[in-house]
Amino acid sequence: MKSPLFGFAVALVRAWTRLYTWRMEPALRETRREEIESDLWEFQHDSMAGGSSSGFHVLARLFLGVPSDLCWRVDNALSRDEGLRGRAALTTAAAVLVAALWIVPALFWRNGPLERTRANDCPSASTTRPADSLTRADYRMQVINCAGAFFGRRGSGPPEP
Amino acid sequence: MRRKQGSLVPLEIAICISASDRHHQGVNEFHGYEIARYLADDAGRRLLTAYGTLYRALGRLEKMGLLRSRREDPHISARENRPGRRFYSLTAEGEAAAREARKVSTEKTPRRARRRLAPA
Repeated sequence: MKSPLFGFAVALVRAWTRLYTWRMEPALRETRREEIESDLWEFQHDSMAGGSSSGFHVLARLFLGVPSDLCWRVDNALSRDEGLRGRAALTTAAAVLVAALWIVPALFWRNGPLERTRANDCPSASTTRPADSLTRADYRMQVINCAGAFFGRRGSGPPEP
Repeated sequence: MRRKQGSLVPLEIAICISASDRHHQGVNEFHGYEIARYLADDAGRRLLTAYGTLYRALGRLEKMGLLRSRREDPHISARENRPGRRFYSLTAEGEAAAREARKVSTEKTPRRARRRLAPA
């Protein structure tokens, strides 16, 4: 009679095999799943199976083989379309992230949060043009001036208005 | 760490040697579970080789041309009401690799023994 642990271990091996072979080339996927299924069946019908120790045995075989399973998956994915698809998806995601980082500040710029920024309150801001007509370069210079005034020596900053 | 192209890891060498031994005993084909049992018996341990490690090694040996595999006739497995097996057999290259590995191991063993015996 098989112990509940053994049943759980077998289910776990099946689930793991399904997971790491998911969306692989059908021939490779089916071959690996069949082999594992056959191995489990042979083990269950072998004289050494039975009792709770066989459950531990199956779990040990599963966990010790996980790194190899992952390497096998990577080896086989990289040489096929899925690897290219994966890399394309990763590149697209990276491009979207970079675009988002680029676009969001630009939108902020247009909607005028600059009207009330520390840079506008900075002493040097009064000497330059009003915030509405600021260009990006002006704004950058203003931030640099303010930072310089803040971190610079006392008394060396621009005069109070 | 990456392996050198064409080099065999100890498990792969053990598979070749074990398959070669069985071949000389008249067993020409074996499935995954059988080879795991052979390896455990040869090494004198109870725990069988992990699933991932074993099937990855078998796949690699097949890619290198040291093993060949075939799927069992589905009618047989259906008749016996069990999952289909994949049978592996050693190729001529595999046999040569096993012979080479045996030669290397026998060359190494006396040197080790001599070193151990020297102080006495």
